[in-house]
Amino acid sequence: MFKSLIIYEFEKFWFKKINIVCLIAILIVNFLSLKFALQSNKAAEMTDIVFSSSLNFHITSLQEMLLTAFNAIIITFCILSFHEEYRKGNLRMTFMRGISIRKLYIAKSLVMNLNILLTILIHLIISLLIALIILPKTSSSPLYFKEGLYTISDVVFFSIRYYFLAYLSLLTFGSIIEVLSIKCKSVAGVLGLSLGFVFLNFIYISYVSFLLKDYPISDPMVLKYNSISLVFVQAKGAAYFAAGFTDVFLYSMIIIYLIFKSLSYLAFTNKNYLE
Amino acid sequence: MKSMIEVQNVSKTLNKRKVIQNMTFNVMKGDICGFIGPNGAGKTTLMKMATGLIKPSEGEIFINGINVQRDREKALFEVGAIIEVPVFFEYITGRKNLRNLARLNIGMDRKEQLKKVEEVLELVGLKDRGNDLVKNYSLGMKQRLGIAQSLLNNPSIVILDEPSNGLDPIGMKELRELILSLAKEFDITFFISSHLLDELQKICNKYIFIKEGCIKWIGDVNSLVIDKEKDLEEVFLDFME
Ligand SMILES: Nc1ncnc2c1ncn2[C@@H]1O[C@H](COP(=O)(O)OP(=O)(O)O)[C@@H](O)[C@H]1O
Ligand SMILES: [Mg+2]
Repeated sequence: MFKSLIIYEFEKFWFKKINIVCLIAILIVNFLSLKFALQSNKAAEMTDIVFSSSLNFHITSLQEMLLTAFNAIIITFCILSFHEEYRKGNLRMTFMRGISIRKLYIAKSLVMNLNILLTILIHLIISLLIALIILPKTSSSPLYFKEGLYTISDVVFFSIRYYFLAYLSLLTFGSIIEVLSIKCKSVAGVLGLSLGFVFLNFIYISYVSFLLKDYPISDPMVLKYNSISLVFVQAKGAAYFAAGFTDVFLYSMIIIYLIFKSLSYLAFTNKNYLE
Repeated sequence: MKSMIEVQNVSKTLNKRKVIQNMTFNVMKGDICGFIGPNGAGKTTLMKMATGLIKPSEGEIFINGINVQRDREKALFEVGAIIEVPVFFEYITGRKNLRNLARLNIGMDRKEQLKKVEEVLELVGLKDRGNDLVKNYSLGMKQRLGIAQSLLNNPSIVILDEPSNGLDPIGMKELRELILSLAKEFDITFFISSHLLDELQKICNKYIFIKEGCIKWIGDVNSLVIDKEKDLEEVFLDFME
């Protein structure tokens, strides 16, 4: 039964033209990023962290786009997959079948996670290609939150960790939007609360920096408080993690993901569908 | 005779209001049972409980002898239904929508599922329009696609919530003939709701009249004392007084 449910969910994802538009949009996002990189390269040295080269463009471009474009894509995926299907009654036909709703939810989640993975991999491939073709080639590059220049093997190691935490942050953001998607009565409600959530994150971050203004920014305590904020993790935490500074962001993402996934699971498998 | 849908002392409270009040009835094998009551009487609510979408506050519902709430998956195995309106993906063809839904036929291999899709499209007369986008379907066609969807899993019971809503007289006639032929050919038991005694209800052999969540009258068509011309409609209105 599980395999059929996964294929069933996978097909539905690709039915939705907007999902496909999102994946194509990554190409555009990359070119915007490239334009930006070429501009800042003019004013920067090759050894500056803001200098984009063939070695680090896939990191700097994701860094720029994670909080904006990627979160927007996640909101779109979740609204289409959870809000539209659940609230607009599409899933009613599915819930009436002799299938397990629990397994349906797991299949839906797996398909969602897989498609988010695909999204981020598409970004990786496109940004690597663009960088290879257009940006200056270097044999060493600076990395976020690390002193000095690094060669390709260090960059690969850093990239894997960076992409991993970026991916996890998107799953976590997705789990939060999932709950909003199931619970809200309208798309406007989901969008409003999603933006409200991001906004709250910014307030929280500035509050933390105000409270702990006597501590250096990379103090473990400051990082620990900030790790609760998804926006901080996306803006800085992923790079801190990749640089091997601390694992606190990894743990916080896993915990927040599990909490919201459980809430979403309970809402989805509620004994009273849309009562 | 075998009881296909068994509703036992079922009540449902929504927003602190008792929307269904202690309902008990049976739909037997081979019945085409009309479930009739004015808007807001509780028809959709009861049908949602019968299809496991929501659970009764009190009482139990059995389908084919299996408790829907306790053993949902098994109880719904041979049930097909449309509750409220069927919602399809509008920018996808009718055929693709069905092929996707057919994946929920657990235990059927893909070849059988695809064959089944063609079979139900043929049955509801949408074979030629199967490759049109659902957004270009008329209301009647969407309703027929909904019925096609309900037949995908070879159901022995089909539950239809106000299927005649929005149908023109021709659509109504087609739907009536479709139900009759399905009942006869495939031995399907029907449980059909309506807020009025329309043309469709004339094919029923059994009626359940409800109002404000209570059963007003249950019986087969012969036990209604009807003058030739004082038709069901008036009898129904009498009961609803
Ligand atoms: N989700 C809900 N929350 C609260 N009340 C509801 C809900 N759904 C339906 N009702 C109420 O329950 C009653 C029965 O509704 P319904 O079963 O849809 O009636 P019908 O299908 O016969 O028109 C109505 O009074 C309606 O307002
Ligand atoms: Mg209704």
